[in-house]
Amino acid sequence: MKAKIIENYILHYNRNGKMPVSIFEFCENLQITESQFYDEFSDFDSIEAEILAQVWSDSLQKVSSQDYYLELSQQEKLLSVVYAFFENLKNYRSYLLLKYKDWKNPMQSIETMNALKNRFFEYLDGLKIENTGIGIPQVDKYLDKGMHHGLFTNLAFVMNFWLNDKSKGFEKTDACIEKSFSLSFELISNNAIQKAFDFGKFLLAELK
Amino acid sequence: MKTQDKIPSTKLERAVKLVGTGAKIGGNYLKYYAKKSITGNDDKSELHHSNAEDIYDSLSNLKGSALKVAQMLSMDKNILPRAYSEKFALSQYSAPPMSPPLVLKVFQSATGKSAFDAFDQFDPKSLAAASIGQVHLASKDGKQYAVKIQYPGISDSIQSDLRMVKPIANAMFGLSEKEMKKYFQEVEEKLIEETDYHLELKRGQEIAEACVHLENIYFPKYYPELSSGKVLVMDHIRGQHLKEFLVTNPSQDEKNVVAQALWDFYEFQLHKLKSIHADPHPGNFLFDGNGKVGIIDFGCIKVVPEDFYVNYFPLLIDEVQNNPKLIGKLMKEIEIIFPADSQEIIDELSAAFLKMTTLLSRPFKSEKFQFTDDFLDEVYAIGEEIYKIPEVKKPTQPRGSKHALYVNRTYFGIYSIMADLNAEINTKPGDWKNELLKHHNLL
Repeated sequence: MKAKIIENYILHYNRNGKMPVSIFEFCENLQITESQFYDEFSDFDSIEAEILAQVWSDSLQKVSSQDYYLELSQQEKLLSVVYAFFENLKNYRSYLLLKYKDWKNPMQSIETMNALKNRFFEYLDGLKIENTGIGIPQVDKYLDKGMHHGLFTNLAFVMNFWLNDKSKGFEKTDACIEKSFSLSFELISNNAIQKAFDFGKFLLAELK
Repeated sequence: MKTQDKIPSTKLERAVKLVGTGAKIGGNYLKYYAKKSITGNDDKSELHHSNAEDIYDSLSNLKGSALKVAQMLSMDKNILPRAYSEKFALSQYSAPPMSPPLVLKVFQSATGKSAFDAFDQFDPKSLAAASIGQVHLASKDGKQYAVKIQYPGISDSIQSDLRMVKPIANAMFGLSEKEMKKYFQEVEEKLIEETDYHLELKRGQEIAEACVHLENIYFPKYYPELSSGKVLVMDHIRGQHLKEFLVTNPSQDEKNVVAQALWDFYEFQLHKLKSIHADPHPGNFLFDGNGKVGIIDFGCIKVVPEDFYVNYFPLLIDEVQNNPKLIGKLMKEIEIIFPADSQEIIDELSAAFLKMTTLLSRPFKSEKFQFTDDFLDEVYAIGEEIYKIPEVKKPTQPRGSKHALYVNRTYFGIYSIMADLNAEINTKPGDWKNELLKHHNLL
């Protein structure tokens, strides 16, 4: 049922360029009851959120079931899933372009990205990318969070890039993923956060 | 139906991106080398250590086509001071690798199947960097393959990358934008050709076939059915780079044998095929230790146009060097001098150029020739001397045919390999000499 609703929602969006008028109309066309709809989703926004999150989960599942995945470093694992994510996003490109083409703001601020963000964070939690922190557990917790948000911002940035990418086979998006994520990883592994913290302390002390 | 925003591409934005990329890749380099030097699993680590010249870093950080330009400049030992060219030569060994996930992604997109399905074994970690891609080891049915995989989007970035290198190159050579333009076009053309792996495969096969009779030279076999425009599959051939080979202390006889093989290979390409493997950097020649040289990488092939050929190479011949009238004509044909030039400039440039070609043609004037560092130093010295001529240093117009660029680069590369080998080989010109003399009615 969930898959059917999503599929038909995208179909509707691609044909009409906008949301259905009401859940009633949507269910009528789909020949399901509203109750069946509400068993799966609360509103259209939650469908839209689920579309992105689902693509992530599918990509993760596909990639992590392959043998070589286990041999990769944590960062390479994340990269594999990200590449698969953008590969799978292609199937939804028309919808995503219609939906997000006018979006000038960074995509991570869009509410329909929240479900994707949660699943992305879940994955990162499981992955345990090493971030040395500054040695104070309470602060490190926030730093970890900051790192997660940073990586998600990176993902959202690449999504924006991909929506505007006109290169053949979106090969520039591939380059963008490679370059932007290795920069992010570099910042994480080079303890940029510690240095920023250290610099912050210095500024606080000097500028008060 | 949809209006997509354009990818931001102002010069500044691109510059910022490039700087960012540079910073990252620079970091990678350090880590890469640091790791290697700690684990000591790389016998070239000492070589890499000296890898720190600022200018070299700034260029190699640009990766892709810019790295290519660095490689290219490194061959032109004649122009570059020796210290720099040593540094540049290192960029030919390794560049920061693509991540394994990207490698697998590119393979999948290019060939439509997973690298693990296409081969029994595939190593997603690269064996070596090529300037616009990297090489991976794979095996199938007990046979080893080298799989060259191209960086995504490289062909599109060539133009903009070159734009970034131009000011650096201009400054290095003290040449103006205008002077460099036609050469940059030539380089750009070649670089774009190099991104076409279909073309490389075809050329690799053609040259290997044409050279099958040459002694002590071998080529990898290419596999079109496994390759695509971005993925090139060939035999993995073994051998040592020149410097590694020399470290094994081969006897002078052994060195002469491989030097002769390389020399004959280039003579044959230039004068018979009129098309040469124009990327003679050390990584492309593999010495097997048994007197044979493996030739790889047919991405950069310079086709020598007939009208350039018949006007350029006679300059290496004694009879022509002693014929001022013909020299004058040839100099005009190859765009060293122009009809509008003052007599003073004509005399000065002709004399300088003749001096250079006389020196460069020394190997062709005897049956055997011994290449030495002294000979090469003489070449550098004359190069520097010519470079001091105001009209060469700050030309009023572009001088020198663009075709000479890759031909010269190739021959300087070969000369310096010969000198590194201290080679004494048969250099007597083949029948091309008489054919060129006939062409100019001197025979």
